[in-house]
Amino acid sequence: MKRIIVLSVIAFFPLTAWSSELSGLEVVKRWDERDEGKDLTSKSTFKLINSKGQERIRKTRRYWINMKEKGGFEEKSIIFFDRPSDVKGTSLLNWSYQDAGKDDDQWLYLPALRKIKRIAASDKEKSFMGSDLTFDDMGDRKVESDEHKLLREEALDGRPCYVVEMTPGNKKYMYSRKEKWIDKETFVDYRTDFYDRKGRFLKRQRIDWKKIGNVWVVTKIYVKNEQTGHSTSIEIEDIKLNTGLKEGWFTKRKMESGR
Amino acid sequence: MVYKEKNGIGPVVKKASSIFIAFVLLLPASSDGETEIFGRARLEGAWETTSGTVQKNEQNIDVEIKSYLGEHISVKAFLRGLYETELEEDIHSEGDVRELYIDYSGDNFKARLGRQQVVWGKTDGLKLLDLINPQDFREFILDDFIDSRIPLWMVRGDIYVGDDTLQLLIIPDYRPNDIARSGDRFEPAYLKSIRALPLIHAEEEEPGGTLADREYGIRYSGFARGWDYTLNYFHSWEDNPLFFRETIGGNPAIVRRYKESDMYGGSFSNAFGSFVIRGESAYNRGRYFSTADPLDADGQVKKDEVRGAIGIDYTKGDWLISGQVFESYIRDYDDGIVFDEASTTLSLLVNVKFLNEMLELKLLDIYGTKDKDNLARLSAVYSLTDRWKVHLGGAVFSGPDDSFLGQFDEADRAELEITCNY
Repeated sequence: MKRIIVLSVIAFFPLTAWSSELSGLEVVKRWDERDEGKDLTSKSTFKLINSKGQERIRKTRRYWINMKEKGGFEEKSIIFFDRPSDVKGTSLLNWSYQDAGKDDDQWLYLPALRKIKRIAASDKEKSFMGSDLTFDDMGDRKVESDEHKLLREEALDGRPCYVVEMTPGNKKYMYSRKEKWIDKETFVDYRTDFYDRKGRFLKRQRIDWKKIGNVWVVTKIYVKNEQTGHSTSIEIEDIKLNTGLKEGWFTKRKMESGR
Repeated sequence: MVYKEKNGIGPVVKKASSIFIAFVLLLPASSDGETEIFGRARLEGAWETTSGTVQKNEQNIDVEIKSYLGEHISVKAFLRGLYETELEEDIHSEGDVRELYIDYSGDNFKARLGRQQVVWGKTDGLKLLDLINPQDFREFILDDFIDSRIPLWMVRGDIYVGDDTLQLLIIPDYRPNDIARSGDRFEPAYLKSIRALPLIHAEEEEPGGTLADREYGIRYSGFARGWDYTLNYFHSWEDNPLFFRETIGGNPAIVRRYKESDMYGGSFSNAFGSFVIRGESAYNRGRYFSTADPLDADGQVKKDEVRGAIGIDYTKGDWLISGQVFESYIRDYDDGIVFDEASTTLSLLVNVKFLNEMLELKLLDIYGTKDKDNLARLSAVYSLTDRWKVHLGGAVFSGPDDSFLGQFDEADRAELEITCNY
């Protein structure tokens, strides 16, 4: 009996030790490098709700392709804006690169001007469509841009999570720090708390996920800015994974056609 | 006095376009494809700040219809209904087909046939390469380009070579710029003085009546090492008629004529951190310039002109600051030419969004360095809801009376626009 207990301890020990020995950086890398599939299409409905409860609606279609191992690219994406009608036909094309020091290339098609404009992609602090999320919050931020510290392990809604503090290397960055709750088993994030430059609590983001095949995909995002009372709810539907999108889809000529 | 108002498109194009309109409008009705309909209704008003005179009182409804007729074919119609009063005297209403075209898309090409707008170039506010469509100058440069650009019937073909695109244009439809009429607030000073001359005024037939008068252009767009670039060529009729001194029946006369010219150009843009650098240049070969030289036979001289522009955009959060420098130079200059040999124009744009993009403030300033003339435009747009927007703004001109912007020094105005999107 004693021998069985010893063997059990030995059998469990490596897993437990490995689990608890992950650093903040390793947790975040596992989160960043999780399988996202080869390509994905989805439709999103943004509800922007101000402190008085007034709602504005934005609808988008997003096409994304994983470009790792292809010409130094990381990924390409194109977003079409369908609603409200005054921005209908607007589209945003983004090419990101594996080289952490290389900025994304980004273009914006404005149907009112009949023009595709090159835009600066390095500034990720701007709001995405007037929502409470910035381009960085939408997943554009590179892991190397922050220092990562594992604060603790705790359950969130019954799920064991790592809580990692992310502190920007650039002290002029819009957040002084973030805390992210990352599932210990699946390495998807369920909650992020954001603190402004002065260290005050700014906003909280909650994410719902579902698994398609072996890939976890986001189905809902809710963010509330506690300083302004403004909140954003994003419902993501019609998610299609690995449909065989081609690289040729992610070009400037597609921006104008709208589909 | 022989003086003809604008004829519009030539008879061949006019007949073909009527058949095309009927054909294209019937297509969606006969298909099961997906159709999108959206648009906007707008009330636009502008008042002179000095006199309170109404400069603009316009109500319009835009309807945009896009119908997909299968995988390769789509049809787009952009229709406008307009009710307008100008200076509280001249009231008119009209319906206009702003755009109407059919697209056919293949794997490596797209063809677009119909009435459309084509925009070239990278600059904002002033045009160098953006010469394909003429412009409505009845409000000088105060109207949005999307409203002031005059669509033309044309064939556009895009051929895709990897990520690059070769664009071909054939334009059988000619229309001149729409210039303010005699006595209108934004009648250009040079035109006012010509119209006032006690001479015979005559006009030769506008081009565009036959396919031989067609305009054509070609553009190659590429991307290399982070740089977007284009190479452009456009053969066209000048969008502004030229005024030649002649004699008719032994009497001195001013004759409006239309002349062809060639434009060779290119553009570029790239992003560096928070900055975007963009620029374009155009070499206009064989343009005509008015001359005050009394010894000149017809009052027009033919010269080449070089124009260039460079701009820098800086983005930080919800702020955009953009500066541009425009240069123009007339080669082999004659002293009698009524335009400067070289001129420099600067522009500054500051745009910021607040309250989760519900409020947008914008300042645009255009400044001519030689004459020290200036146009400052301020605007605030507030989104009441997704549908309703209120726009308050103003335009302030300053500078000498004979300068490009200063000629409208008395036309400063306050603007109000209410938009309902649907």
